[in-house]
Amino acid sequence: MTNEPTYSNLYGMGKQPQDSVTLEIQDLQNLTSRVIAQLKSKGAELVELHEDGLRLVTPPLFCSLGHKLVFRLVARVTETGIVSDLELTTEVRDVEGARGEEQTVDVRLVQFDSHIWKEIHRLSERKQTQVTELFDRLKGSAEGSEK
Amino acid sequence: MSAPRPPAKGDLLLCQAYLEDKRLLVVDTSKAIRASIAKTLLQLGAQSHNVVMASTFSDAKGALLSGKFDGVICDYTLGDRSGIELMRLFRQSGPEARDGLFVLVTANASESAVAEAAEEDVDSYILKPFTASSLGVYLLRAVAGKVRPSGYVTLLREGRSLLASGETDKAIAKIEDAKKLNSKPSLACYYLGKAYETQKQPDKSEFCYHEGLIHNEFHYKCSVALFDLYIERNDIEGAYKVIHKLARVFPLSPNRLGKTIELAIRTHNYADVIEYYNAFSSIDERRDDLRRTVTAALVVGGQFHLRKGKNAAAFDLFRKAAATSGSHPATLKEIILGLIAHWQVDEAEAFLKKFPAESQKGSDFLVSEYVVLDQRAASSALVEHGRKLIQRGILDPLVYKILIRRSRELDFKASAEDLAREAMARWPSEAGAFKALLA
Repeated sequence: MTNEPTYSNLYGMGKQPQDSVTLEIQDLQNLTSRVIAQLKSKGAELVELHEDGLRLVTPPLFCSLGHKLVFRLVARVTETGIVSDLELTTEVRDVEGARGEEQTVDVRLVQFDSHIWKEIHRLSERKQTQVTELFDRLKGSAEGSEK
Repeated sequence: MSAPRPPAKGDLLLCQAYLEDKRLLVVDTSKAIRASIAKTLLQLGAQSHNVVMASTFSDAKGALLSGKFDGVICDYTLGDRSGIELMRLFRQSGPEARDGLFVLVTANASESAVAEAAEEDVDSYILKPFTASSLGVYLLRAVAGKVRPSGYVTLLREGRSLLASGETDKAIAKIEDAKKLNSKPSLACYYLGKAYETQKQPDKSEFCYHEGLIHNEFHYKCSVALFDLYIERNDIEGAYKVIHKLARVFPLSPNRLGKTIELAIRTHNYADVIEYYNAFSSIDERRDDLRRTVTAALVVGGQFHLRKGKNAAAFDLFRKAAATSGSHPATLKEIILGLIAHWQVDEAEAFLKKFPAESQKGSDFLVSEYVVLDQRAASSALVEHGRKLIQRGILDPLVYKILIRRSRELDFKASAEDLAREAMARWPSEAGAFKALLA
């Protein structure tokens, strides 16, 4: 390689976008009904992260309002493997989905490591910022200033 | 780096005014994701009766064909189709769609996917899983770009529009005006170059792209346009120089990566192959045509290293080629022939073991095995083996060449001459080589 700048040192973004963080929900259990979810290999679908909880998709008829759900939230970085494996105890605060269909469940965190939770949010936001900066530069919309 | 700035109240009001009467199509295989996006759109000012959902590419295509939409928010991957394909359909679906909102919301964070989206006319690239606030902020940001563009962007947009409707002279005047409004107007230079291309003035286009690159040395669109211009002129050295420089700074889309690899080979820049292999490795969905291009480049790159005496580098590329091709028999044969040509018999034997069991009755394996045996076995055994191959219908010039040479060594002169005659009749273009074996 020559001394030409690489993408990461040119824009000072540290990690490259392909070193991305993926989040997986594994070992989902309903502590209230004592049901263990049968999940696909990639785990349950994670829809949205909130400050105090998250939204996920569960199998049909898996839980109801007020149920306690416990699961592992596994954060992986492409290059380095698992960066955190966080066990979360949560309480269902909203459930959507017709009978027989998968449920979209909004849960509030009850027991968790707040430091790791913040770190997961930070990684997720950083990733979006990196991708947005890259996207803008590629599009050419990040230009000089208006005269 | 910081989290997205929460939207200002003014931005939100502008966004609400913009989205109030807009018809929007939300496309995602996940019902939960569709619902989240729709909910956010409603919070930003869209009306529920104007938000239409689709779960598949064909449903979305049907919706676009049956009614006008002002914006689409969709996933990058839609079954075996892509959001980029949907964007092209959307842009062609009506005049309001040409500059309508198109946002990708996806879990695909690979650089090549981002590059492909940016090269196309996508307005924003939002990652899943999103946070409740980030989805809103980035959608708002995309809308703000539509509602409140800078003077520079407004003039550029008008210029683009004139260009699309064939009014090139007016477009050039408009883009020149835009250029005056920005201190580093690389994008204006790009559109000017495009305008001159439509006027069949490639020299002026080239000048504009170079000017864009003076303002921003690594301007993606100017670099890519210059690359395409050089390709058009068949200036492969110039094209490769541009794209190689760009590839060191930015990811290449899968299409462009394939072209770049071909150029690296055509311009004899074999040592660069490993860089492109690394770029290929980071792509999530590797298309067959790209896989074949990468495999071929790795084999050619390996052969180059062998010629330079850099055996370890060559073996590494060959191993990568074998893995990339999924142990494709023709690829393994090519690798083995290259290794044997440089007397790397042990390594050739190792590649022989990579042939899948089901391919070991095929011509590629049997010929490769015979070529390796030629380095190890005595002439008598090879002559017998070679004759059996021909009887089995393995008719390959290499088999004949080894057989003729080994027959001569055993002093089977008549037999060697018969074989040479047969081979010359089958492969007249190689007659000289067969004749030389008899001398």
